[in-house]
Amino acid sequence: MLFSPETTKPLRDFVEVLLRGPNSLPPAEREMIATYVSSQNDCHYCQHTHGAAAAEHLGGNYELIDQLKRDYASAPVSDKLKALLGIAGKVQQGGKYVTTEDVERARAKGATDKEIHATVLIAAAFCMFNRYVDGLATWQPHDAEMYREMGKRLASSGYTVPGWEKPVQKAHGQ
Amino acid sequence: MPHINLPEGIPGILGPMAFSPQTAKPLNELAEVLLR
Repeated sequence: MLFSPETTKPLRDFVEVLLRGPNSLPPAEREMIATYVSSQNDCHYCQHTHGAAAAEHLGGNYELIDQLKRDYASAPVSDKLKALLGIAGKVQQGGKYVTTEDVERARAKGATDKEIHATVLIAAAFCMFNRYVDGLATWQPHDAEMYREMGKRLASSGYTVPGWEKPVQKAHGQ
Repeated sequence: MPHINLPEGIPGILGPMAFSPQTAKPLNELAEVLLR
C-alpha cells in the first residue's frame, strides 16, 4: 500500500466505509467477518490485523476471535452473526455458493438487507485484499505485539488517519 | 431473483452499487485509478 499510493487512497477510503461507516452491524462484528474470511484464506497479515481490530473493539477480547476462527458455531456470538458468518464463508468459496436458504436463515435471525449486503461485500473485498497481500508475497511479521498495537490504532482512529501502519515500520526497524 | 431487495432493472454490480452508494464511491475511484 505504501508502494502504490494512487491505489491505496481509494482502498483505505473503501475499508473505512466498509468496516466503520454507517451500518447497523457494529464495527466489531464487521471486523470479525473480515477476520474469519482472511483466516479461511489463510492470510496471516489480514487475519491478525483485523482480528486485533475486532478484539480491541471488544476491550481486548482476543480469546473470542481465536474461538471464532476455530469454530464460530460454538463461539458466544449472536445467532444472527453466526448466520452472516455462514454467508461470508460461502462467498469465500465463491459467490454462487450462497443459497436462498443461507440468506433466509440470516433474515430469520434478524439480519436486514443492508447487513446482508455488508456481509457479502466484506467477504468479497477481503478475498481481494488477502490475494493482494499474498499474491505479492508481502512481508508478514509473526509479532503478536505489533498486531495488537495496530488493532488498537484501527479500533480507535480507523483506516484513513495516517499512522496506523507505524507498528509495522517499527517492527521493520525504520 | 437477487438475495436482497436491489433496485430493479439495473444489471450486475450496478445494482448493489445503486443500493449502497457509500461503498460504491471508493470502489469506483479504485476502478478508475486501476484501469485508467
